[in-house]
Amino acid sequence: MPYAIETQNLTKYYGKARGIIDVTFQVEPGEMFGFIGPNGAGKSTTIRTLLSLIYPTSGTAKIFSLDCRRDAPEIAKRVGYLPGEVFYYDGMKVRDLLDYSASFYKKDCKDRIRELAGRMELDLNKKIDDLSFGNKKKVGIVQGLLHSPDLIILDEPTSGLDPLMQQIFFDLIEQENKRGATVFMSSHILGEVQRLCDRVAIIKDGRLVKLERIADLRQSSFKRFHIETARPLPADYFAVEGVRELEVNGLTHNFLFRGDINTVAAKLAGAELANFSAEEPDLEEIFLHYYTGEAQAQ
Amino acid sequence: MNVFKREIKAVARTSAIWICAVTGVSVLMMMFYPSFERDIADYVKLLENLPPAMRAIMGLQVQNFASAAGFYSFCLLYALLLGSIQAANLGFACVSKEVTMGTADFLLTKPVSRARILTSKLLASFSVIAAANIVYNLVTVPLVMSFTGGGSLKKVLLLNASLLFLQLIFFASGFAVSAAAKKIKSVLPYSLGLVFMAFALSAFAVTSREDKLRYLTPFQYFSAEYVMANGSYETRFAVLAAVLVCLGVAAAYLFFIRKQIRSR
Repeated sequence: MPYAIETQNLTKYYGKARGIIDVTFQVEPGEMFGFIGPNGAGKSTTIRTLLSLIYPTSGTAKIFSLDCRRDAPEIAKRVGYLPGEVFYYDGMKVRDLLDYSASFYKKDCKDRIRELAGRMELDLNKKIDDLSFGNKKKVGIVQGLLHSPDLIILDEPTSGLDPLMQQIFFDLIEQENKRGATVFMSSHILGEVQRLCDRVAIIKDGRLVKLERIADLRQSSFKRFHIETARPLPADYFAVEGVRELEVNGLTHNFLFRGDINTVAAKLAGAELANFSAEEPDLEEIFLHYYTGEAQAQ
Repeated sequence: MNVFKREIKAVARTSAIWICAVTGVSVLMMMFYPSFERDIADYVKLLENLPPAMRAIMGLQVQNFASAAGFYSFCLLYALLLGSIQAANLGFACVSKEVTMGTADFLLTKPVSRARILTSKLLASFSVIAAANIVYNLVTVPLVMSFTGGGSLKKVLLLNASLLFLQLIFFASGFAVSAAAKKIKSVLPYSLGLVFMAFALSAFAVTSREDKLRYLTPFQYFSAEYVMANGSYETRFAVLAAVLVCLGVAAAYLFFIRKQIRSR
């Protein structure tokens, strides 16, 4: 089976400004693939190149074995795209826009529009100009899914949606995935990618720095511990294998940990705790400690 | 067909207003003709005393004033000016509005080639220009003929056709620029700038009597003076006009197919 998406040394410069450099990855059909990185890392550039909105400086990108630039209209039949920011024609009603969108595909999308709009609680008779940002986003989602695409490309899909809608949206995407659709989604929130995706590519300063299974990432990823003890402990009490950036300040011990969680648990059991928290580091911390740290270690 | 329909809908209202304005200015000015005709000798004397540059800017060719068709050729100039602005607007906005509104992301990720999108837009714009000219002719030809009392229909039609050709030229220029430009925030300054520059050049070409200058401004390509005298266009300028329109349209395709649609 051919890859759903396949890029080879994809590079894009805007004049002299860096877009992306040598981005190579493959997305399996039926996979949910996350693409994360901080703002300006090159997520949108990659997506826009895949969609042939911009053209690569060098390298190739293929979707369903078709060339993204040459076969763009053919590819577009099978792709649904939800842009990060949604803008639509002045004075159009939601229904007009969705019908216009559907008119490009040679199939009847009426039932599907009704179903999707129902699930997203979207009023089809409102003017798009009058909708809130979140509701415009919903229009974008319905517009991207109404033709039952084989590949769904989402650029920062959940920004602007309230948590309840995010949940509905995730369910919807999962359902599409079960139907057989491949999902490619960019985000700067690790949590939402972790929750949905099978694999994740991490992009930073235009380069792909890591491509990993979410399960492995979770296992190998750091946790940040904040510990307050009732009685003073030796400063090196938590200095076990896997602990990094240990900071001791009186009764508080802060550190990053990666490894077998039982070693820390055993240490914790031997101490008298006043307070304790362990949290997932945010993306920024992963970049700062995990990846740059790893590069230094090698 | 869907893009064509969408495009027509998008420009329908403003185009209707423009068509009324372009036709209305000719009709209104023509209404002055009966009273003008009565005192024609006085008017001609008065106008001949105006400085030549002034006459050129106003588009007055005094020797033609005696006939209704001649007077009409003067009225037409203002219709040409407005019509050119309309067409330039249409051209400049054609592609750029999708980029500035952010709808390019929507349209260009649909299963249609860019060439087809542009063709739909081109045909929609041509339809608008065609409609404008049909309305204009239906209204002005009977009106002018009623004043001339028959005769010189060919000259009136030739005069009127210059509206169509000027609109095509200005549309094509705007169309090419709109496909090439990264972003045009507001269309009007561009179209007003282009048309008035051409108009000023035209006045300058008349006063300076410099024949070469006439190549630079479309307002000189279909000289009313020449039509009134010879009942035809000057071949070299008609050819030049056709070449410009083709070049503009071809350039638009070249630019649009290569265009990079960057996020806003």
